[in-house]
Amino acid sequence: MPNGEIQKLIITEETAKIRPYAVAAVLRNIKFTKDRYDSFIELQEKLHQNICRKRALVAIGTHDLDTLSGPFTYTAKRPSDIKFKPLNKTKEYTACELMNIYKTDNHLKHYLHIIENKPLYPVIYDSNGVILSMPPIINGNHSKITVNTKNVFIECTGTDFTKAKIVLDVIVTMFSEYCENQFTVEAAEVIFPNGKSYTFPELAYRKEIVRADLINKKVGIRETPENIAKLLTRMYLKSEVIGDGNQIEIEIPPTRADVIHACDIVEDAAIAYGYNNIQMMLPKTYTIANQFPLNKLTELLRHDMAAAGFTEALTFALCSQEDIADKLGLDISATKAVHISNPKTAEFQVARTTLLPGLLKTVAANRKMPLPLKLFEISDIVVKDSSRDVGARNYRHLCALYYNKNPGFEIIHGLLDRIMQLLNVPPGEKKGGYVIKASEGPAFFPGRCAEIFARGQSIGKLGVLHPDVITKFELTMPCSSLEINIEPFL
Amino acid sequence: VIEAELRSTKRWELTAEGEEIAREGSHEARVFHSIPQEGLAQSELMRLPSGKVGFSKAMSNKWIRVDKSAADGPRVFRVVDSVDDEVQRRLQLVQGGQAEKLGEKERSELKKRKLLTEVTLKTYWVSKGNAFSTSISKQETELSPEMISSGSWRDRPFKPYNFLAHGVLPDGGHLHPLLKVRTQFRQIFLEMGFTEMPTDNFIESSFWNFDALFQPQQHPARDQHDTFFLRDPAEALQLPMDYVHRVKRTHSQGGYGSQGYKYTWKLEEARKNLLRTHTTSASARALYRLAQKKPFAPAKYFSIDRVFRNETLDATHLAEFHQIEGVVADHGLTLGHLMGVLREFFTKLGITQLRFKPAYNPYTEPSMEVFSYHQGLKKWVEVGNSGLFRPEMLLPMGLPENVSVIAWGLSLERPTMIKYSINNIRELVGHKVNLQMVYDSPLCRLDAEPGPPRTQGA
Repeated sequence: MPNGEIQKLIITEETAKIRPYAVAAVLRNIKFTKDRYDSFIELQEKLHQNICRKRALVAIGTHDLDTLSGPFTYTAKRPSDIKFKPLNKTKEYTACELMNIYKTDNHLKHYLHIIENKPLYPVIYDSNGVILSMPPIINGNHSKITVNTKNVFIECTGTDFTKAKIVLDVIVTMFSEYCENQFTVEAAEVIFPNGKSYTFPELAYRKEIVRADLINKKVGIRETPENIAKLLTRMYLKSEVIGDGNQIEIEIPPTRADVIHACDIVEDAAIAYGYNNIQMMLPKTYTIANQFPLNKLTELLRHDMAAAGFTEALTFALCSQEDIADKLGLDISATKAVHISNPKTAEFQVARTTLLPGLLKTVAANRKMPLPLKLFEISDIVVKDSSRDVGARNYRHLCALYYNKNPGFEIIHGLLDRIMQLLNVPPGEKKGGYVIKASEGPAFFPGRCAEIFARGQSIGKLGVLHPDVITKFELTMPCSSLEINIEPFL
Repeated sequence: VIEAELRSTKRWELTAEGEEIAREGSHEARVFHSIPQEGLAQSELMRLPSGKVGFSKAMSNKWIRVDKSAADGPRVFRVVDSVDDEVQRRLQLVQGGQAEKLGEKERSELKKRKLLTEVTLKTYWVSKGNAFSTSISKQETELSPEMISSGSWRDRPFKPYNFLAHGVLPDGGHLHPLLKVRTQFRQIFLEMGFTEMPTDNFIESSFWNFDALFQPQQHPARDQHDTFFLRDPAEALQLPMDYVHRVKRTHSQGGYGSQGYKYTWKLEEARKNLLRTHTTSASARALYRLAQKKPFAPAKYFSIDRVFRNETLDATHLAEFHQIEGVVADHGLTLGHLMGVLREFFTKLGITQLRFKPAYNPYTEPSMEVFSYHQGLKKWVEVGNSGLFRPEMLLPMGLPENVSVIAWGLSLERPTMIKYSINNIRELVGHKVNLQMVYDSPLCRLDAEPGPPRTQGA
């Protein structure tokens, strides 16, 4: 506890909508050297990047307490009402001006979005109206910490109360060593809008009791409880054997907020033992393996497609809207495609609803190869489906194309016949058979397109591709293709 | 019958302008010589045929000077009494066939001034081949049915074969190298008794992809920057609500021996649809289904399928790649068992020297990175990631408390690129694939000599 008055931080209700939580503490009579100072700044940056999730969850502000006077107020104000001299600048700016200035700052521009479009910005004042900081963007220059600073006021504001407390605990435990009263931190009081007051830092030490044989069983070693306690203590988890000699009591310090379950303790014991010292054993688990039927069928078909003279391609599942709609003469709304939000480039706009564009692009990228080009792919396409729990599903398609000086419809047709032969589907409309019927489609040359019916349902189309499709994919030769859904053949 | 050898020689020749200068002297020299003792008005000088070109050259050679203050306009005077027309001399050397006497710098300067050109002369030297003959006799190239039946093959000369020429490659199709490797990995898992999980769903909900795996909602991987979220359909329509409530409680308050993360868990966040970032979501679904079957029966699962990451792309990273995952669920499994399974798995890949290093995954604890020694690179390289699934993930599913689940994963692309010596992933995956590479790629044989298991059963 402090010699004089405890420092107070009062939170007003305006912060609730933007950044409701704050914690604070004081490091009294600290002695910085250049190294310690640099390390202090670096620790804050590292915490910001990791647990604070790039300042969105928590932001840390550290201030020279001797330049300020408490009690402090944490509130939120309109940007135009906030004016101060920020860190390392020579004049005062309003918050609006600062947002503009920092748009080109390589370090700070990444954090502007956290408060940019909000009506009120968070801000911390001292009792004289001096601004300490405008979290999570920048501190004020007035309370800047230097190598000569003796008393540090730390405030952490954020949207996650637990993380804010953890971050404060980490900073004070790591730097209290440099205080005159070593390993002592001075508490601060934080008063919330509802009147509740808390004292920070919490310095939550926790004790957990774990059975020694649990640790042995999970790692696969046979150590005595005393040895395990020693291993854990080496990992900064102070432990001792208690009770009937089989239990270990472990003290978890506030710097180990990652230890939330006995399994975290098990890992530390294993690390201390040395992973490469653990004896390897094979599990006794006896199981008969099964293939996923769709994949089994795919594997069988792939080999015979190659035997039939076609070469396998592996294309991207994500593509542009144009690829699956405009270039094939369709409107995107007719495709039932799944759309990705905020795609960085057109290549990631949708998930493919057909394998054809991928194969056509493969031909386009391999124009110098000798003709004919005969490609195939057996892979998944994606469509919206409200009967599925996520609202979309995959279908396993087989697509083949023939690209040559002549379209080769008879070759693609012959391939279909061969596939049906392999699947044991006889030709003819009678039950269980397959038949092709003249059809149309915007992607196909008129009069050169057919729909394929097998086992009572339409499974796809084959035909000569329309010249528009050929030119839109930057190709020059005639081309015919076949695409079917193979799931009905499971 | 004949042999032809191509020989080419290069020669330096003067251009038309070069020839003029060899004859009349360089422009700058002519300018110099046309200036009399008393100088010449610059305007007049410029009107001379070599005036414009020669003037600046003569100035830079410091042969002449300009007096701008002369009475009737700028006047040009000689600075030196005589000049040595180097340019003309050099050109005459070349004309005389002695181009090699000039230095390279001098030659390229003259070439720049378009006074010299390099001329290539190609000649063919024809000589008698080892089958030279002046008579034309038709040699039989091949045996024919007619020759067999008539026996006429006995009397015909047959042209000798050139065994050094290539044969005609068969006209068959080809399988894609990455998928050849996938076939081998499937084989390995099946040989080890692992059952293939259904993974035919690229679209997944955040719940199964993250929350069910105990990955907190504020985790950076759930950022737009790393994950492809969907605009349509934006949200999952159905989730198993009892299970969802248990997961919510574990994240926000703890339970099952855990402190939890102590944050506010939101259902709408879990509903968000995305392109799955790993196939571990399929493993979660499989383990959940396993947990509903009573009594518990141990299981071994695997999957190899496509995953999607919205990360920075470079020569070895794409937005889509294939993940290989293996899972064993049984009573009393330890870290030692995980290492044992990994040893057998990697031995089937021909990798026998393994080391393990502690690692971190949000959903496994303990976690291990697996390294093997690469003979070619002479260093330890990472070959996979592994761990025991956290109790906070398994217990809300309803799996019994003493059941442990070990799991490991690696990418399919990396071992393929190493195996087939491919440096740029775009040549392997996607439409920019190098088809010739697909045509030429050998069988995928991952292992060395197969042998009996090297790890003791326990």
